[in-house]
Order: sequence, then C-alpha cells, then structure tokens
Amino acid sequence: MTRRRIARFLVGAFTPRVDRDAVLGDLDEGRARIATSRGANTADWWLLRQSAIVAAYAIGDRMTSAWEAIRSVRPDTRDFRHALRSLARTPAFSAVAVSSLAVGIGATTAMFGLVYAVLLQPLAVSQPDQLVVLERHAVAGRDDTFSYREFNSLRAAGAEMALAIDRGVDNVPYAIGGDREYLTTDLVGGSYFRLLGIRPRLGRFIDEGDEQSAAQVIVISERVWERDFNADPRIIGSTIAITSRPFTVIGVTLASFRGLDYPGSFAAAIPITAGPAIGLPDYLRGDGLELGIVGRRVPADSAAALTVLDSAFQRCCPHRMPEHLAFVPAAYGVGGKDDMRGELRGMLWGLLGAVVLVFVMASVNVANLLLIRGTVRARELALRMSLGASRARVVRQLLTESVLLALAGGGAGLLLAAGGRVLLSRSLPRNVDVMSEVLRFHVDTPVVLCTIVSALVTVLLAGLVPALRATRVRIASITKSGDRLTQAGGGFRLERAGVVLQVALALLLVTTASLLAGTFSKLAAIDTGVRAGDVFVAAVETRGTRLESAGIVPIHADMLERVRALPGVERAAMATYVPFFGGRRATRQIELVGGTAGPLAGVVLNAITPDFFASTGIALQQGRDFSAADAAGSEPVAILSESTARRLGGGADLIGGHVKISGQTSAIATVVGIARDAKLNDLRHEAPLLIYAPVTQTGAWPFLELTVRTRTAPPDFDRRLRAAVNAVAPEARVRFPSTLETELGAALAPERFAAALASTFATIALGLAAIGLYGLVAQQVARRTAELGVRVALGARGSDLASLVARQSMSLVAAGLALGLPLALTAGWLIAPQLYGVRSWEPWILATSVLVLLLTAAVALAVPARRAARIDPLTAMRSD
Amino acid sequence: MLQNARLDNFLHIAHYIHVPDYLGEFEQLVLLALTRLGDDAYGVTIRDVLKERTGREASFGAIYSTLRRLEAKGLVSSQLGDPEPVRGGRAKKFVVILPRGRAALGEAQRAFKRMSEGLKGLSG
Repeated sequence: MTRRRIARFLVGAFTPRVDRDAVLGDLDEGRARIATSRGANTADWWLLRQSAIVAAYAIGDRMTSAWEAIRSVRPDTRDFRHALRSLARTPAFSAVAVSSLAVGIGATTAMFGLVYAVLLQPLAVSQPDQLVVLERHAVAGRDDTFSYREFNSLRAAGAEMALAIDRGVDNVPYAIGGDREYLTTDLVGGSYFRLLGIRPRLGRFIDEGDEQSAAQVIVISERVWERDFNADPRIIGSTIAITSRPFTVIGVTLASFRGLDYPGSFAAAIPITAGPAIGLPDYLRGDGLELGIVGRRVPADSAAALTVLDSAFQRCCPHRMPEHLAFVPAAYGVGGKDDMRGELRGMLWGLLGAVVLVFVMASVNVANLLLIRGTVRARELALRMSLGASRARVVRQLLTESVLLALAGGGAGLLLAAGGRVLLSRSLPRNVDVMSEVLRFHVDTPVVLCTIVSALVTVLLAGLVPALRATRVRIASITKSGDRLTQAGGGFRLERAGVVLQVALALLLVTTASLLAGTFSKLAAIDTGVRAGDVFVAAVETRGTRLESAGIVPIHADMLERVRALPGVERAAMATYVPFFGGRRATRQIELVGGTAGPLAGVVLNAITPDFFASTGIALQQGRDFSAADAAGSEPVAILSESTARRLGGGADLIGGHVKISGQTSAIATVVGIARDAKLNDLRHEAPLLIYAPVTQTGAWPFLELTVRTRTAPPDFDRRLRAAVNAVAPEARVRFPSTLETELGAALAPERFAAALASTFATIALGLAAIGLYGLVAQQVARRTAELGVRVALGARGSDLASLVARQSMSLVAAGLALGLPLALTAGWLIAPQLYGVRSWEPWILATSVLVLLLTAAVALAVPARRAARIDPLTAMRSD
Repeated sequence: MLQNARLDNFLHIAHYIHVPDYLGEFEQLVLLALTRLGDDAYGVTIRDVLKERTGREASFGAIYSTLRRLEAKGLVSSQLGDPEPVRGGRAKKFVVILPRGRAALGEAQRAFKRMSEGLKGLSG
C-alpha cells in the first residue's frame, strides 16, 4: 500500500465527513509544496506523518467529548422515571438483561472474594508487612522454637525491633458450662498482643503486668465466645476452669484474628507464666526450645536488625550444631501442614480467569441486547432529536437505563455472590473446618469494591456504545418509509461480532469444563489399592494427657478388643498411617540382607496392628498378616509392599528373607508377607514404597489412627466408638471421626470442585450465547419481514425462508467456532498441569464441545426460523 | 452559515458553560492568525502564518483540533468554499473569527498585559 493511500485512509477513517475533503485538500497542497522543494519521497513521508497526527488528534478529541458526555450525566429524576418506565414496557428484555448482569457480576464477585480471602488477604493485625516469625536454620533443617534464655539475649541485643513469645499447646482441657472441651491455648508473653497491634472485641488483652504476676487470666476468641457463651456481654470477669483452676476472662479477640499461621486459628490465650498453674511445664526455665518468637520490624531495616540479632544469638547460648537466625515474613500467615495455598493457587486463578470470561460474555450479551433495542427505538430517538433534544441529552437518557440495569444487576449479583460464596466454601477441598474461618463471607470492602467496579465497567461497556450509536442516525433516512426494505443481513455489524465472540468464548468454556470433568472422572476411577466400603476411621490421641509419655501402645490391644466387640464390627485395627485419612509418615532406609540391590531410602514406614489389611481392604498377596504373637519381645517381622519387594529383590520370592531397617535405630526383620500397593494420599502419582511393621515392635507412639470395617453403617457409631475407647482410657481423645469413603472423596475434592465450577460456568456461557444468538436472529427476522414477505410472494416456500435464516445465522456460529477453537486449545495448554488422563487437545472432547454448541445454536434458532417460515406476504407488506 | 447540528451544540454549550471563554495559548495564536488572514484563512494559510510569525511548525492535526474546539465554543465559524482544480478538485474550508471570538481574544491579550505589567527581566 502506498504511503499516499495509507494517509488518505487515516484521514478518511477519523475525520468527520464534512471536513474530510477540506483536510485532504490542505494536506495535498502542503505535500505538493514540499514535493517541489524537497522531492516526492520526502513529501510522501511528510504526508504520512501529518495524516497520522490528524488521526491521532481526531481520536483524542472524540475520547474527550465522550468523556464530557459521560461527565455531564447528572442524575435527573425525570430521566430515572422515564428510564424505569421504558424498561418496564419491555419486561422480557429487562429480565434477561438484569439476570445476565446479575450472573456475570455475582459470579465474578464471589470468585474474586474467594481468591482474595484465600490467597491475597493479609493477617488481621496492624501493619502486617512488619511482622516476622523467627526461625533457626541449620544444615539438618529449620525450627521455629527457642529457649527463654535465647529470647532474653535477643531482646537485649538492641536491635530496633519488638519481640514477643508465644507457645501453642493443644488439647488443653476446659470446663465450660458443665461440658468438657479441649481447646488449643496460646501461652503468650506480656508483649505479644501489644506487638500485634490488634484491638479487642471486648475487654483488654494480656499485658506485661499479667505476665509478671502470673495472673490467672484468659483471653478468648469471638468464635468461642459465640459458641460457648452465647455472646453474653457479661463475659468479662466471669470464670472458666482450666484443668479445674479458675481463670478470669479479661478480653475477647475479633473473629478475624487467627494467630500468625495460615490458615490458622485462635481459641484462647493465657499468660505464659500461668502455665505451671494448669500442669504445664515452666517454659521460661531450662534450656528447652519451647518458645516461638514473633517480631515487628521496619522492612527497610530488616537486614540490619537480623545481623544484630544473629550475632547475639550466636554469642548467648551453646548450640548443638551450627545454626543461624532467619526472619520469616508473616504478613500473609506462616504456612504449616494445613497450608493449601500452593495446591489451590493455580486452580483458583484459573477459575477466576474463567469467571471473568463469563462476565465478559454477560456484558457482551447485555450490550447486544441494548444495541438491538437501540435499533428498534431508532425512529423514536430520531424523532426526539429532531424535536430539539440534544444528542448528549438522549445519550444521557439511554445511559440512565443502563445504569438502572447495572444497579439492579449489581444488587442481584451481590446477593448471588453471597449465596455463591457459601456454596463455594462448602464444596472446597478437605479440612473444611480449618478453612472455614478463612472463608466466612463478610461483605468486605474488597468485595463491595469489586461489585461496584464490575457494575460500572458493565455500564460503560454495555451502555455507551449502543447509546452513542443509536443517536448517530441521520434523521432523514429513518423517517423515510423506504426503510422497511433493508438489504439482506442488514447492518448489525457490531451485534454480529458480539454473537461471534460469545460463541467463541462459549466453546472455550465448554471445552475447558469437559477437560476438567474428564480429569475428575479418570481420577475417581483409579484403583487406590484400598477398599472403602463402610470403614470408619478416627485418630486416638494421648498427647496432652498423662498417658503421653507411655503412648498408646500399652493400651491399644484392650481398646481394639472393645471396639471389635461392638455390634456390626467386622474388623478393627490401628496404624500410624491410614491411607487418605492421615497419620504420621515416618520414612526409613531399608536394605535386603544378602541382596545385590543397594539400600532403598525414603521408604514409608507404617506401624500397624493385626487386621489392618483386612480392615482397609489392602490385599495381602503373599505370606501372612501380623498376629498377636508378633509382640515386643519376639522376632522382628515386616511386610513389604509389592513395589518395595520388586525394587529390593527384583522379582525373587522374599518371604523368609531379612531386611535391615535403618532410621534412628536399626533392626533386622524377617519378611513375612507382601501386600498390594496402596496410594497413601496422592491419587495422581505412583504409590509410594511402603514397609509395614508391628506397632508393638516399633516403639512408643503417642497417637494412632483407628480403622474399623463394619458390616453396614451402624447408627450412632461415633458415640459407641468413643465410649469403647474411653472405657479403657478416659483421657484418650477420639478425634476427626470420619469414614474412608469421605476421606477418599476429600482427596478428589479439588478436582471435583474445579470440574463442577467450570461446568457451571460453561452452562451459563451456553445459555448466554443462545440468548445472544436468539436475540440477534429474532431481530433480523423482524426487520426483514417485508423483504421475506416479498420472497414468499415471488414463490419461495416457508422452508426456504427458514433455511435462509438458518444458513446466515449458522455462518455466524461457524465463525465463532473458528475463533473459539484456537482459544480452546490455548486454554487446554494452559491448564495442562491440572489435567490427568486426558490430553489437552483431546479430539473427542473438542468434537463433542463443537457438537454441543451447534445443538445449542440450533435450539436458539428454532423459534425465529419457524417464525420466518410462517410469514404471510400480505401481513408482511402491511407491517411496519 | 451554521448548520442545525452546530446550533444545537452551541445552545447546548451555552446552556452548560456560563463561564467566560478562557483561551489556551495555541487557541490564542490560531485566533490571531484568523484575525490576520481575514477571508483567506484555511488550514494551509493558518499553518503558514504561524510558521512565519512564531517560527512554530504546527501540525495540521493540532490546528484542526483547535479549530473544532473554537467552533464548538462559538468563537469562530467555518464554511466550505468552491472546489478548486489546483487541489485535485477539493474545496477549502474557510474559517472566520466571530465577534465573540474577537472579544475573548482581546480579553486574553489584556489579561497577559496586566499580568506582565511592570515585571522586569522579560525580554521585550
């Protein structure tokens, strides 16, 4: 393309038509002048540059005037009432528009609220970016506990930093209103709450005075206050008994405070010096590493403060191994074993992306509807403008309608979002009660902001273009009666583009949802090696009781006997780890005695009782299960998982062979059985290498997981289980009662959640695309009634008309599919890490998605096409 | 002669803008150019006289944008001339300053004069 032609195009595209000629003339004159003095080449470049600047100014001016038009929108009650009446006259349109907006805004707000709460929200303390947790790093690993002596040296080191101590203790027994309850209690130093800078919900917090006098005072959380004290405002000053010692409630924390961990929870706090009063050791004495240290520093001075503290750390106390101090930023909570943010991050951002697409589709839908509405009202608007209304005035009127729609849609959307959040948080993956605090729906500022921003964006996107376009019509061409015979296809360029975009996005979402659904079903079908059935699981816990030192091994046999005696029980067993339920994962290094293969490291050790395999349904392939004879004094025995046996012995029969198990201590055990592989936790990867050993031969365990296979689910089983266990040891606690089936379901929860949500979005997208297509085609048929009537009069049959309409519409759909296919493939490639068992470009999924869209389009076209077929030439010519 | 749409805009602007017409620096230069050129003011001549008198190479885009704004403010009016063979058959769009524009220009010039009165160090 020559420069002159480009220049002409630039001027032509952006200059008002009246001026176009004059501008082109001026530029030509200037160019001619330069051509004579400096040559044609320079002249052409000059022309191009000037044209570009003309275009740039024109665009800038247009944006400014649009901005002025928007700014001049002053609320005028007449406008609002008129808009309300106008919308009420077309209830179908208004209903569809408001619901589209509500869905788009509601889904986006809910999803954003979720992402914010899980991934983006900082701790509910003052200036969270200043908080750090101290850790000690050594080659062997890292730890976050310190001794009181170390704390004092650090405090005296003179760094510009505030420090406080804290120790969490699980399972502290409380007597609240006659009930016994176990709460995790924080033993805090006097400066802890002050350092965090939080405000109490009621009363006051523990301070240095309380620490010094070892006052028996307690601060509880708002949740505990609501749950156990019915939010009684007279809580301050009342007494709670901890291990039968009275403690006075002095304050209540806000529910938003969950400590420094993620997800974290806070129930109660007492002064650290009051620990001995309730039977806990004095953590301030001795050199035991018992205390956590939290600090507040200015991030800019972090390095300097760390250096000062580290040198004090090195000097003060003896270290068993070389270690140094480190700061762990705590602004977003320090992650522990319940920190699922890593797992969930990709999925949540992906879902947010999908929901934004739905939002865009909803906006496009509303814009299309408004565009069509504008076309329908063209005559009315032209008349108003010819009677003296300025364009700005009419635009303002139309925008008021959009604002009303956006308000209604936004309000409904916020309600939808609230409901959606509750649903979302209920279906989120495992340990819901751990995350439930994080997910409580508050109408936070960020959420409301999101709703307002979405509504505003929608108004602009969906309302402005139709409004501006509707008022750009030329008066003469509308009032002419010849308007009835419009050419085939008619204008509608923007609306058609809108429908194409919607079809493309719908294909994208349907494909993605299908991929995720495929992943879920493939994962659900995996053979885990465990037979779920009616298997009850629970953890039996002795930590925090006087049984802790002896552990559970001495009493476990009695417990199992009682449990087996319960009605309906087929098998019962205990283990350190029950697949998909949890427990303690210990690893060992094992080596076949007399074997050629080297030692295997990282083999998971599961200490079990007899009947474990029968209870969990893990098949024993060879040899025998453990029995009561395999006790503390007898010959050490072991059972290997099949892959462990294969790796050790290369296919040879290992029964009767010996393995050396090395960990903190070494032992040589005889192999008595081979068990089938079982996945422990992770469905996607291979089962880990496992070695089983009898509980009685592997030392003391403070807790064990109980697994009970029952014939049919007996009623009230949890309570009976608890009674049986407590009959042997009243202090032992039965925690997390559940079934293996529930836990297996929980393992699949992220994939199920993602598939369900994506499918919901896909269905919404299909609906929106169908509505958009229907609206456009219905409108086109209505506009072309006269033309179609002529065709009938000239001999066309109803079916010809229907297929004409269908063909022209399906070409739109085809364009949408063509646009959507590469988008869908890209999306598939992006989510490939989340997929399992399906390829990101899986052909049958792509084919099915295309088919679904074609079907949806066909349904959407059905009514308008039929209407076209039924056109009667006489009424058509008379219609207006 | 003002077209219908222009009248509309004019009334609309008049309705909303009750403030005196403040002029930007370039707007003033363009108005002065119009005053100088009288009947012969169109894109090319305006640009030429600006170059000649101020040494500034203004772009056509800036000039057109300013003229549009001045016309929207009701300070100038434009009219298409006859097609001219020398410009490939295209007409020129002539612009004249209106009394209101003249008043605004005068006020702006006086404002500058009042502001710089008595100040030393400004090169004359």
